[in-house]
Amino acid sequence: MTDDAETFIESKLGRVVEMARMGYGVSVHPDGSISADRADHRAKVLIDPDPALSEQQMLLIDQGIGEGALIRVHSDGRLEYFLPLDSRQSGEQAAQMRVAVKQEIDSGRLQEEMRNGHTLSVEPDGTIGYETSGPTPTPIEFPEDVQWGHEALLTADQLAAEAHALEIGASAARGLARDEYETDLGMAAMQRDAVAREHAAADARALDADRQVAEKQGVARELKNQRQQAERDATVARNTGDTAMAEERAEDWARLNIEARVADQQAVGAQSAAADARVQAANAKARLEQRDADIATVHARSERQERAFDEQEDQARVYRQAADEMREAERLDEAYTDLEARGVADADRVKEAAAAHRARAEELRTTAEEFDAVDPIDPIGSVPSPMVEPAQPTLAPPGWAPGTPGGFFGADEFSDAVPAALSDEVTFVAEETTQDLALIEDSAVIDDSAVIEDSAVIEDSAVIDDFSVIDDVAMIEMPDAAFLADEATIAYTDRADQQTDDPYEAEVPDTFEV
Amino acid sequence: MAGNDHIPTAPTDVIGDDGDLRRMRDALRAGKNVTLAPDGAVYISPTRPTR
Repeated sequence: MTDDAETFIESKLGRVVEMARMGYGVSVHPDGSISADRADHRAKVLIDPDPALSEQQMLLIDQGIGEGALIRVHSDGRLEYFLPLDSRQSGEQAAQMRVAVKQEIDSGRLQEEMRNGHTLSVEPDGTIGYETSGPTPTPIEFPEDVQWGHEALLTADQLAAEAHALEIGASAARGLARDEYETDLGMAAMQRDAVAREHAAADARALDADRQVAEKQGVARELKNQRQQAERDATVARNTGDTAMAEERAEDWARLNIEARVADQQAVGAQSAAADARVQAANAKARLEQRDADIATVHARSERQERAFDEQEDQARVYRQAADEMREAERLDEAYTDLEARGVADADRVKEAAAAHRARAEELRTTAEEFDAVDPIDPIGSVPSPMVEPAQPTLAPPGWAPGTPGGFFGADEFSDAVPAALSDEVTFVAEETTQDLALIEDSAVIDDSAVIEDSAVIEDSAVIDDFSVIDDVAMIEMPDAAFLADEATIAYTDRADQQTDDPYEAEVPDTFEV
Repeated sequence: MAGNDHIPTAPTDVIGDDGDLRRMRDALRAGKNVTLAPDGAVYISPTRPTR
């Protein structure tokens, strides 16, 4: 394709694209000629760089007249052919039309009208006339490939300019990167501290709730003891005929009974609060780890950027050395020219020195260019912004143990378990997973066929062996606050005597083991 | 120019995009014929087809 042909094609490229979008297959040839044919072959277009009608265009005009097609020859040399579905043409009229068109061409009138921006229109009914040509699509230039790098740097000035540009670029990029580093690090650190405070607060709430549990349990026990005493006193008074005393102690029993129930409710509420606080603490801990990772990412990115800037400055330094060598070579070349003109002896030594400096400059230039072997587009890479809030876990992950990294049920044992898989019917089987809101902490051991349902919490040193079942809101905590809560049941096929529905009769000692 | 109300085409924005024009440019500069089709493809042929 010649430059002229390319220019011509570019002047028609908008038309080419437009026709393809209208259903034409548009062929472009290196000589600049363009032919388009619609898929139903009832519409064709021929464009040729030659202002005169080409042989192909003449043939298409002849064919179109014979078939009863609409023919248009536009002022830009474009020939259009359109064959209506109901086209008909008599041989006699076609012959007359061919003569008329040939006369327009041979007389030069067609070329004249085209130069004046007119279009020759040949209608199927035999009408032949001129009309003003419509607008043409905007020319489109072929897109050129993006060129990276630069022309070879041959002179001292070119080498020095390259060094200067690299130094300025590195300096500016370093300044921007430091601003970005300060912003990102500050944001990540502040977010990390906020999450750390949430974590500490959740831990504190859990500890306070534990304290409340113990306190309310003690109160409930004392009230129940007093209630039993009031019941015994009332019975004795009734038996001895002291009706007034019996009624008084019965009233005391009723009051104590209410207070005991309230204390029970307080204890259960505190237990629930403790469980919630531990879930929140687990979530906060996960977020805290993410925030620490964000900070590490910001640091790593900054270090990579600094290395890249340092490398660019090193490259600039090498270019500058090359520029110095090349400048000396250029100076010696000039000196040699002068010395040679004056016929000074040993002028060749100056020429040799210039060549040595030039060789050194080229060697340094090659070294500097090798810095560009690293992908210049994105040597830094990208990292997730610390501004992005990470997904929040809604439940403590299975096996998580607050305060004990990894917990007894460490990640290795339950690495495949995910909170989303939890369900109401909790089942613990040896080396299996946890479910629902159950938390297993510290050194708890759950062995074969154990089943735990609903909001169970098992902490510290609890050990539950074969065939154990814990229902509802059961909670087992160790060492001091260990107990089984409201309607908890532990069933053992070999220890049926330890089944219970009363949480306070199921209190377990520090060495609780079933 | 005759319009089109029945010839199916690819979405217009994918016909003649930069990638198409680059392929056409390279082929034409290499002396080959190119066809921009209404299905959005660019076909390259080594010889001038019969018209």
